[in-house]
Amino acid sequence: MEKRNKITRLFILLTVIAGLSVTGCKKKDDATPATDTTTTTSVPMGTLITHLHAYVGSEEVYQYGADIIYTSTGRKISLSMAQLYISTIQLVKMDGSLYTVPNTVLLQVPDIMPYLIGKVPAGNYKSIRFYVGLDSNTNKKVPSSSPDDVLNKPSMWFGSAAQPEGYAFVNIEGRIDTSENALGSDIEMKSFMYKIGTNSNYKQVIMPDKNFTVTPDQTQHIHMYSDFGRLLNGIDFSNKKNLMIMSVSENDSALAKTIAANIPHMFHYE
Amino acid sequence: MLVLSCYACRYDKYEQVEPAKEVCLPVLPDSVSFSKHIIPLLNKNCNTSGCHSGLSPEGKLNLEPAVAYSKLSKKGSGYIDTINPKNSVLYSAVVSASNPMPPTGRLDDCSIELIYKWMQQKGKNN
Repeated sequence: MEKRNKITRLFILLTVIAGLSVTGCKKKDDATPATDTTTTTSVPMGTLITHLHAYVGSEEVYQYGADIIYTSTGRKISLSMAQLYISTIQLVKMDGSLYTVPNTVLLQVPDIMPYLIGKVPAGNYKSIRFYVGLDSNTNKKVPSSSPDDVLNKPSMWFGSAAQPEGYAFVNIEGRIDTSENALGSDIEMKSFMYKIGTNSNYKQVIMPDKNFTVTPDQTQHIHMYSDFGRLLNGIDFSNKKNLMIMSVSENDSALAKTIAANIPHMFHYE
Repeated sequence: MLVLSCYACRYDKYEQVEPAKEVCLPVLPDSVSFSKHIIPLLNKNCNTSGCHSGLSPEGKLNLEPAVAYSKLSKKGSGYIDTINPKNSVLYSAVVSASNPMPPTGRLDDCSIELIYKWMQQKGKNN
């Protein structure tokens, strides 16, 4: 009997030790649960920034309005404006689940490369995905008067105010060789201007896998570039009617759909 | 069961990196000079052939002595950040756990601290 009691007490002791050992372990990898989540409490966080360059083809745009560079299809272009919104940013964890970065809208503008994505759970990730543009709720918002409000940018409005038309998701302007064979002289460089917006042109970009690690209390950069020349693939520039999209109604055109369809393919890792 | 419990634990994978100020204190200069301290660091680790040098430098960032400062300090580039050095591309690259620079091997803690301190001291071309 005494022997049995000793064995029972030993069994209980080992069970308690085992239980403490299991619960004492730190979580193995990402602290967030496997399903899509935006919770951030009591999880080690690091800072994530995208270092985003503006390119045309393989050339970085350095001098807006001045540089003559070539698209990937060999057409001469000079950009004077290249801006776009990025929102609904999701980080893909190593197990394929997603972390949605809350409340982040970025506006890529000329000559600025770093864009703060925000504080995110520390851990190992394999990719990033995001939308170019604004979701339907944000697209209905009236901007504040603060210069820091990313929506308070008249260059991204269709008219003199942001509403009721919503925002331009992409604004690209410049001059482009309009010759049929893309071998035109400077005389054949004509002005173009495209403001792409509306909910139907809200496009997701899914980047390929490229692992990165966010370390607690440190900053990690994701180095990418946006090829604004890629947006113009498939456009017949010899047709002078194809040089302008300025209004919401024009965003229903085949031309706008052609440009919008190029959005998911314009981003690359540097 | 006890043995199984021990093997159920996994190690934390994060590398918590902070500049080892105490270790470098006798070695780190009071005032960090770009030409005297940072350039030699770039020469040894960054602008070697095939990396951040030449006509087609990696990441389009040339860190050769004649142009390094102008490239790093280019407005809007984010390569250096004198307000929050941790957020600079330069610092985050040398402490990155996933894509560290240089790719041949992490800089020693004192070199990392030197870069941090140079930015803290306004990242001058001195």
